Amino acid sequence: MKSLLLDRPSRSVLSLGCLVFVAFGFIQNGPSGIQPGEHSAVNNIFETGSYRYELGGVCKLSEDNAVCWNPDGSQNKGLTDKLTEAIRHPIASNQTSYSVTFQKKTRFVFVKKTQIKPTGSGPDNGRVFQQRTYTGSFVEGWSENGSNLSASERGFNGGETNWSGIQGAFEPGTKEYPLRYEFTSSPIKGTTRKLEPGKFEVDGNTFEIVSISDHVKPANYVSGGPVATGDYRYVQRLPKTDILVKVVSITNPFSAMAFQLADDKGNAIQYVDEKENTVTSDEASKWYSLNQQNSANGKQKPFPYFSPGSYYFDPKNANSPYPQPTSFFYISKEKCKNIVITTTQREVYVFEHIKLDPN
Amino acid sequence: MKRFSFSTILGLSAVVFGTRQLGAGNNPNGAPPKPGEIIAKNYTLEFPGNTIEIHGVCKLDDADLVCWKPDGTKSKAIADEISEGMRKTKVDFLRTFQFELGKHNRILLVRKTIASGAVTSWQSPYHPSPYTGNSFDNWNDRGMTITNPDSSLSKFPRTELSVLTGSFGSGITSFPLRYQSLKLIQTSITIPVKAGPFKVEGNEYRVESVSDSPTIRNQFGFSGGRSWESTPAKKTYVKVRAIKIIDPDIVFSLHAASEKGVNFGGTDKNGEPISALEYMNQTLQQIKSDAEAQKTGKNPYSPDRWNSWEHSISPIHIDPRSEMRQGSFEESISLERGKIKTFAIYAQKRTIYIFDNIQLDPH
Repeated sequence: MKSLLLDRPSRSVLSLGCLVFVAFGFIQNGPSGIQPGEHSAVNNIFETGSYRYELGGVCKLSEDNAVCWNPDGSQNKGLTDKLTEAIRHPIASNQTSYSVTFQKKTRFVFVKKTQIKPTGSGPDNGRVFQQRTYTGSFVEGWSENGSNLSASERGFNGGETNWSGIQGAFEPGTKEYPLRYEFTSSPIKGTTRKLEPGKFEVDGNTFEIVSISDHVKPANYVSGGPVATGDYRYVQRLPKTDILVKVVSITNPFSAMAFQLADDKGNAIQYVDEKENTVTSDEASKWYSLNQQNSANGKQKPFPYFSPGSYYFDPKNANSPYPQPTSFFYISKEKCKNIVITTTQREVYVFEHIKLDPN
Repeated sequence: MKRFSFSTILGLSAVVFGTRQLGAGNNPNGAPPKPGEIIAKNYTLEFPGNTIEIHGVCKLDDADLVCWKPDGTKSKAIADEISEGMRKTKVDFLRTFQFELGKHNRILLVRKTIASGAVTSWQSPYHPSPYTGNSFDNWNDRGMTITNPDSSLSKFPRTELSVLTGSFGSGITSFPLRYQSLKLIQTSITIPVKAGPFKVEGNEYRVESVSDSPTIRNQFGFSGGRSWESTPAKKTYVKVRAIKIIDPDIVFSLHAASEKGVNFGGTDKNGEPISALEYMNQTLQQIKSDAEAQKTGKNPYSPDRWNSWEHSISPIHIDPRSEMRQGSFEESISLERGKIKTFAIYAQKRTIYIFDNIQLDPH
């Protein structure tokens, strides 16, 4: 679907929007130094939600051993021993994979997460802040993709400590590289507005609905085009409506915006049936449970409802070559009366100086 | 040359490695040559029209690429050649390898020399236990090929270098790679589009049902439709059961075909089936017109343009050795039932070859 988006008419409009980010000097993965709105992890530690996050060490792995050091480059014997033990005495059922890029520095950084408060004290969904960069060519930086190296232990107080291995690949000449960690809030329901062309502002960011039109199959899509969600079996639906959204300006790069089509009362439309009548999540679940019972007999009808689609925009992806907004909808434009807008807030913490080689 | 032995592996497993080496000892992919398998001499297999050889084995860390010949002789020339190939590529994927922690991760280079366009058999890596996921050590085909920059598809002879990767327990010093060669052994036979028995070179099967909707539910739900934007495909679901297999190396493909048994390769703009030959011609025409349009700076695409990938009709492949093909199974053909007049069956004979004793470390 991503390549499809590139080819759509909205591309040029989105590109215009993206120019705004360049002007704002929007945060990148790599540069050291704290950007406006980001938090620094002082002494490589910060606390948020229910946990304390600490940069536990940096490692280089080989097939025989590990060499680990602290972010300042000093030796980290504890982590070296633990990793070397894992390499020399692996457990078959715990296969840990990682990737190695030819002639690049492959490193692991370990974030140690310790529970300090009861769970649910705040957003605990920390992960590497990474902008989308599907350029095909090498981009240095830390990434949670490519490896599943992790460990955990439970203290006598019931609190858990987790070590997450985050892999990075770097140019041979790169000496240090920061790690950005992000936390996102649950979606916050915002306003309902009429779906019609015009500008609207969400959390300081301005968007414009340019047009609402019948879906046009893109002329030069490659593959992976849209198929309605919710019908993963064999009934297929094609998009019916295109909504072209232009990103006018971004002043708050930490707020992501989404909208769903909504009924007259401002309730998001979760599913619709064949005739485009609204179906609630409860009704869909009921049908599904009944259907699952029937499937025991070896017969199963395809799921008759489908999601009409939604739009999502996250400023962190705005300078990637693949803009994220989805503007295909699976119901006819006459049914697209209102939208309900939700936002997701992001906090970014930065471990600023991480040496990529030991002293 | 040392081959790991079953007893050594079991011994190690009890002391240090838990179940890992026990698995390796039972690993069908690492098994020594079996009766009927042909052992490659000098790590080379010769077929009419092409040659396949193990070019080298490499070990990669971020600074170095160390390579050796399959017998363990170190070779800087191979390392240089591969380094050059990887340096030249602009695609990051081709330089990134997925490895496993605590294992010996190796890169295997298989060189194929194609002498002419007239091939009579088709070769590909063969894994006795391909569907066991990561539970057994194995060479995995990465679908990655380094082709000589000066060899085009129409130029002969040309060489291709396939890149495989493998992760092996530290007790394993060598590991084989099997190859299969498939050769067409007969012209097609046709069977009716309905339930009933049929034979392929002595192996007995039965079409259990031909239906316009799936009858078997798998773990992912029913078989999916096309996953791209196109006119929703109408499909025909064919359920087949293996009744009696005398020769597990007779594989076949079952094609949707015309009354006369001419197999369909795709559909035209109106969804009407066309022969495999016609489909190939249309595809070539599409490639040609795209290239011409691009030369003149025109956009070759239009919404109603015929796309080969949207209109292809793939056959159902049946391999008696495949675990997925035991008992009843059902697959779909992207054409509605009413347009399939017969099923055409093309059988192939498989021969299994083995490159044995590929050394996992240099001497």
